[in-house]
Amino acid sequence: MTHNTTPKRTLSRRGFNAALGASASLPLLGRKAFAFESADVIVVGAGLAGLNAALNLEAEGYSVIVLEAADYVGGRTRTYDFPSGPTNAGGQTIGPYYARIRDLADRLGVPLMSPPGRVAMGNYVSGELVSSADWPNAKVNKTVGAERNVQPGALEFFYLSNNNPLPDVESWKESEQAHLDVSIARYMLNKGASEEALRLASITMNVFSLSTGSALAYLRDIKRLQWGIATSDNQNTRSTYGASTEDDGFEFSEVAGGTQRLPEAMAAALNGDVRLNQPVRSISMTGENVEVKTNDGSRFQSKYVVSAVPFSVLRNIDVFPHFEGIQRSAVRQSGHGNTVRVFMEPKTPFWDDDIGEAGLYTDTAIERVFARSNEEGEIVGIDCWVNGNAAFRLDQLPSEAVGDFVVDTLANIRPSSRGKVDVIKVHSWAKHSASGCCRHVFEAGQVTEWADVMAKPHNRLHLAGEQTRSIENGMEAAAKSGERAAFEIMERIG
Amino acid sequence: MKRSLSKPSRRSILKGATVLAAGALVSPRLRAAERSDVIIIGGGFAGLNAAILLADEGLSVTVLEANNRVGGRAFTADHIFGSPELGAHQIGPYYARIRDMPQRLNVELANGSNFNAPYTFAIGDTLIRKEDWEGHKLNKTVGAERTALPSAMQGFYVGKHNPFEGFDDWLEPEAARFDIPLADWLVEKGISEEGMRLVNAGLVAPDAANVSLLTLLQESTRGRLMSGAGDSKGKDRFEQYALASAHVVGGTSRLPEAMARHLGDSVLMNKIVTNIDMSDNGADITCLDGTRYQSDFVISAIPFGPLRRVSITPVLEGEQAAAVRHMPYATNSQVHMRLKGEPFWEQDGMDASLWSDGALNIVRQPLDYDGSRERLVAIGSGKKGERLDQLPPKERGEFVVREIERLRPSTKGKIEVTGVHSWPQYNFVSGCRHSYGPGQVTRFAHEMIKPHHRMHFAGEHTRRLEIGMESAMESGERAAFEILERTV
Repeated sequence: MTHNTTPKRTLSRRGFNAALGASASLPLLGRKAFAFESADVIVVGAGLAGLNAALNLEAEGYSVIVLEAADYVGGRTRTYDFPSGPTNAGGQTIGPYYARIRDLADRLGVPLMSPPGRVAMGNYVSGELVSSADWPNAKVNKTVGAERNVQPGALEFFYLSNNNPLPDVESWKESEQAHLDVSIARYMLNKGASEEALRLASITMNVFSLSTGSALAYLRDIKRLQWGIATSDNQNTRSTYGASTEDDGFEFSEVAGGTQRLPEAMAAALNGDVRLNQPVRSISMTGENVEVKTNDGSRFQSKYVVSAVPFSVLRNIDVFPHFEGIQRSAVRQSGHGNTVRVFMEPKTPFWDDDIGEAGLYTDTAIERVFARSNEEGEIVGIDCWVNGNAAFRLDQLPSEAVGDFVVDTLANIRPSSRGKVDVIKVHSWAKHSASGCCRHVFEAGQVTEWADVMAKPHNRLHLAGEQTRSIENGMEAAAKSGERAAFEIMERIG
Repeated sequence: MKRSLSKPSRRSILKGATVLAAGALVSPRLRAAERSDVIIIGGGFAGLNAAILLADEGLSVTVLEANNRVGGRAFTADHIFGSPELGAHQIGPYYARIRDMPQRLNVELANGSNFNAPYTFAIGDTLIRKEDWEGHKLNKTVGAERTALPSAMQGFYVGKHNPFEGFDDWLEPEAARFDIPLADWLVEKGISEEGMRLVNAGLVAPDAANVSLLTLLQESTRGRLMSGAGDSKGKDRFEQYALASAHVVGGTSRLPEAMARHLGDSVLMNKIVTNIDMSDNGADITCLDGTRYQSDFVISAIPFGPLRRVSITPVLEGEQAAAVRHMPYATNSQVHMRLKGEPFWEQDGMDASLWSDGALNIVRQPLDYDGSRERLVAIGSGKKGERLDQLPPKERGEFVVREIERLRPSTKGKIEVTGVHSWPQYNFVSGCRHSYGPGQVTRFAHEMIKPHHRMHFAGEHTRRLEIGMESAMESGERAAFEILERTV
């Protein structure tokens, strides 16, 4: 465990109210008043953050009940079992420095594996299909100067990783860096990006749009990623996603059988229950007690509560007393990204009939197409990946129309694919999940305004989830946030 | 209209039937390449009214509607038993524009609107008759509050302390001091904790901490006048409204449909706008299906929710950009039901509609215009609506039936779900209405309606004096006039 510096606590301190103790000690308030269960801590949300909070608390002897709105555990680590193999709709890559995630996998016997190699991406820009090799000199490459040699999908990394002004990851909240809390568009323009580079970069970035997303938050994420990359060259072909799988001497991993196997193993390792299909309705904190009510009227009591759900979900829970001041604004208004994934299976290697690259970066409504390969390196999936504002646009189509729309658009820009792909699954994080988003996104100015208060405990409510992260990225950020919230509560119980 | 036409000859050529005939001769594809004087995005009341006013003045218009129907948030659900109104339908006594348009288009209005059975209150798990509320042991409110029904708690405070007299007082600079959280103001006015809980339980906004008092004061001012009209003394506020109002015979949708018919083939459906690119030469509009339209001017008559999904160049800036990006929209999630067997209200002897402080806001038992009482509709708004929306539609219906049966055993086995509808989940709107957060009226109301380049803004969120459907009409008229001024 990574928190072995925390003093061990004795069991006697909190054995007293496990299970039915609390309800038995209450005066008779009628039939309904009895219908609650209690634990030391209630954790709302069974993603990596919530489950790690629960595991840490249980390891110290506290009793925990985890309430999950969805009918599965894992939150934004969701794995679909397709005929071609398990496929992740959300969290996937385990970075070299993901200490907690690696430790959990190790302790719970969840096998990790090396990621299958990424398949090269071609481009479809301004109406032309162009291989990555031809891109620098293509007529449709309207970028300028050094940008011209950068693949459209790597422009983001080119501008945000080169000369990243953050001295280290921790410094992102320091006042000297506040001048970077401007829009990504503004930052890139200051760095000399052309309008065309801006347009092309906007397709890869998972912010609502470059003119709203905060450069500072993005620079933080990239700085953390840069720790995991040995050399700083070869950036012209990297994207933030590609960067994590380059042959650079660091070990990147994935969970064998799909990422969701990890939260499932975490849930199984808990002594307390994880209650599925229990969306929380209200969290009422009075005196020394917390009462949590779920949608079906079930009640749970505890001393403390951890919210390990995105703010896009927390804002729909009645919290008494209300959040206050700028924390209220942060919970209510913070921005959330969306990703729409359309998973398809190719019937033939149609890409060999044109530019040869199965993946495609496009400036169309379907944005990017990734080729997914199995362990043998054989391409088994063609997955459309749309994020940011474009994902919200796609969500405006009736759900059943999205698959056909993507297939039609792909056929129009890549005639070789016509009739050669079948849609297996359409997943929108904003539209079809209990998370309501794929990740939290800081907009310009919000780091300065909110970053300090987003993780601050409110009364007996402690806040976890990736939106409260400070230095870690991705799944590690979620696990870390759960650990932090658990420690905060242990400190208070004393 | 006090403007002179600079290009009368061109306009008179395009007038009336000539436009329709010319449109019918060419293929849709060719028409698509044609340039209009004005493109109107959104075929709700705001957009259609703007289009009709502009067309009346001889300008060529194209209305791009993302959905496969017109009307926006006025939607008569003919696909659900009893054809319930899912959105706007109550035509207030002073809705001049909304009342004028049906006359012009031969659409029939009739008196009265939105009649529902009176409410029984479900506090916790206990049913309380409205006449028993004041003295009931579960009435934990304090002092004069005790006389206010749980559903009227917000109105009790806002109505009593509303300082406004004129309809535009809310837009005056000194009104900014009321642009604060409703919750803070209620505390200042001495609301009890239980009073606050009941206000929260019934809100359309997420909670009293996240809604601007100012916008509620505007509505209260307008509403005071509305409920004073007609012979409705001695009735409660909701009943007064209902009696003094009117409805469109055959369903509210018939009115926007008639407006669209009047505009002929200038109204295009299934056109989801993704880009608005403006230059010195005009505006270039791109849709998700790849089609493009050009014009001199653009009216955005859609809510900011869908507008924020459109890429606009030159980009919006400052508070206008913030308004488009962040304007909150109110939740409204509905489950429609049909009643079977003996009327449950006769069985338990209590009023048929239900107000709940639990998972639902209200369960209305509508009194249909033909006198029948065969329907129920459960509504979740605010956070309750958001939570309902997290359930898939089928489970949502089942959940609501379970919840009603639990609260009111006399309904057991007597209700079946006939349809679900959620305004936030329904595409192209994002919510049932705009809902200013604290401070946002001051920040947004004046800035957000200013024309941006060749683009003008309409829609109920840009209202000035009116509320409801009339405010949408008012906004379309204003945007049309702005453009007419520029084309002189």
